[in-house]
Amino acid sequence: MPVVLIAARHNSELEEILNDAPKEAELRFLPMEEAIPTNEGRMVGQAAKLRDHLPGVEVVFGAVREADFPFADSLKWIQQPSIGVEGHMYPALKESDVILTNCKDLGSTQLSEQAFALLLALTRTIREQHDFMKEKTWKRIDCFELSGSTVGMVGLGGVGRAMAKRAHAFGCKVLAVDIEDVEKPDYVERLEKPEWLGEMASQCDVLFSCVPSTPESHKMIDGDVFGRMKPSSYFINVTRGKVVDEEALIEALQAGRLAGAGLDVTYIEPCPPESPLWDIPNVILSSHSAGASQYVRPRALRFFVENLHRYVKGEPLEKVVDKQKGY
Amino acid sequence: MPKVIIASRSSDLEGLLHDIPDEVDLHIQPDGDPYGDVLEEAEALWGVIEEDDFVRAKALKWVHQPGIGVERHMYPAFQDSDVVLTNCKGQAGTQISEHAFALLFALTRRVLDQHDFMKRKHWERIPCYEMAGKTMGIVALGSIGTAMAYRAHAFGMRVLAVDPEPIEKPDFVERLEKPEWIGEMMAQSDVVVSCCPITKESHRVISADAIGRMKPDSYFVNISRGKVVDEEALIHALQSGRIAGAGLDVTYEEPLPEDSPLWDMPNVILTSHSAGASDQGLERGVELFVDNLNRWVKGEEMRNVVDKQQGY
Repeated sequence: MPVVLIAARHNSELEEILNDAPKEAELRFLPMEEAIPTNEGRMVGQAAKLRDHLPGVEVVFGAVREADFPFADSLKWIQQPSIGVEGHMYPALKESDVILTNCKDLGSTQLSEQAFALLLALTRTIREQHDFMKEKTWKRIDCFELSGSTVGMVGLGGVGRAMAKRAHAFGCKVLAVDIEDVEKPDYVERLEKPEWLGEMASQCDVLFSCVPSTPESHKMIDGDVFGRMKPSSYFINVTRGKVVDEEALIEALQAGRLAGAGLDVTYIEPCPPESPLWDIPNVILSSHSAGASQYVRPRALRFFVENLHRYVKGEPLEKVVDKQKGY
Repeated sequence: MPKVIIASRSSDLEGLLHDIPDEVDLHIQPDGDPYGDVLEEAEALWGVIEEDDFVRAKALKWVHQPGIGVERHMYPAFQDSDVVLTNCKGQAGTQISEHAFALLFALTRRVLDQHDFMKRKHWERIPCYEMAGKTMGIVALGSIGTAMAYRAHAFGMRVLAVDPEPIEKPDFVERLEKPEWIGEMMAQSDVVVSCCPITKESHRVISADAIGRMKPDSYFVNISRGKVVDEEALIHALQSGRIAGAGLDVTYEEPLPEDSPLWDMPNVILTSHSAGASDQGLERGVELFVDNLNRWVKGEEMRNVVDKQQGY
């Protein structure tokens, strides 16, 4: 009877979902303290005393930090309730046989809504109109039409594909780069390897970051890329701040070499008060909210229950993370 | 040689007017003097002809109105005449639907709260509302409503619509009914979008009754005409928290009067009738006009002819 530790925040709605869990699993609930935000965004439900509850536990729904890992004497599988797994990419876990699964592809909807919220707020001058309201000013401002423009996806995983589909529906021509040999969907006009990023950026009116944070993707969207972008173009990041050379981005924005940026994520989070990003008028910051939605926790838990059924039957799990690649 | 007057935005248009047929005597009127002394002889006009001026336009055969809403031409003398009216319907679905989504997502993804946070360098994640899987109810499925529906579908929304015309239901719309269904549609919707022109029939079609049926956490977006909404009922619903928020590009009176409560409501975004704004709009409009001009001189059927009785 595998012992399963639910180490993520839960409530009565979520406990109902757990009623569908297989009888063969023994569920234990970690007493909850407030989630501790980390540099990569929140590690859901990471309570300080996790290590006291790890001995004998085979499965964890939540996150196991490097410092707690040595106490996980029976651990076989971690299901992360979120998508970005960089918090689990420490040597002890990577080298162990512990399987890591996450919620990749389960965040694509709200992430793409956030991305478009940021982009459209910029192109349709929503914030300026919001500020006009305070003065009771009725004044039309010129707006930029997305339809017919070219957009580029840095990364064509689940998030990139979801964004590409929506961009296509908005009448955009979609280009993309991805490191994997993924099939080019028909709503993407051209798909190349990451070496093409600079060239893609030069053709785009909007560049979207859709990549996870890994050693390979670190600062991949750099001064070179921003330097090749058109001055009328926008940059949108709803995935990870560390894939961007933030100094280069700030420089480009301050020099007027980009029309604007929508940043849900920054290199350091919370964005430090001294960062120039707070004060650049054509920048929107949105406090790493892209992943937020009323569905996020039930969706993650439901997926975990499905995976738990597979686990107890000895079937292959889904959304297994490649611990070497980091996604 | 038929005289054709450019009576609107002349300074913007001049550089864009190519391929004008030789048979036409084009008068580009300066801004501020739309008709000059040629109105009596003008056979065609780009712009608007108000009721007071119409009596003088004795030779007028065709008016091409820039923009989409034609309510300014819906006076009896014009409607009863033989003057053909064309407009730019079908040309703005793109930017208008982009604007509608900008309004909706600004509300559901709390963009304006984050914008206000930025002023105090405050980093705080706020719960957001995911629209995928939710229902969008569209009032009127013309070119704007269709553009909305297509995009909503791509965002994983279920789309319902009402329209008075016997149009074919596109596959990205789940259910299409006649306008009588509006109350029921709004009762099922998580977001209601008005894409409806203003006509005698559509005045306050989004009635107090229909608004009263909306779900408590639903949103209302208007990017067509303020007069199709019972604005008092909408304000009431917003103030009492009976609906979650509204994105209003248009209002009953424009500019919105200073004393309107809408200015101060935290769950309302007003955008000064900007939905039609686009860097591509004028070129598209000119292309259509010039094409129509060429058809007109040859006696061919023109594009975008408006039904003067229906008002769209």
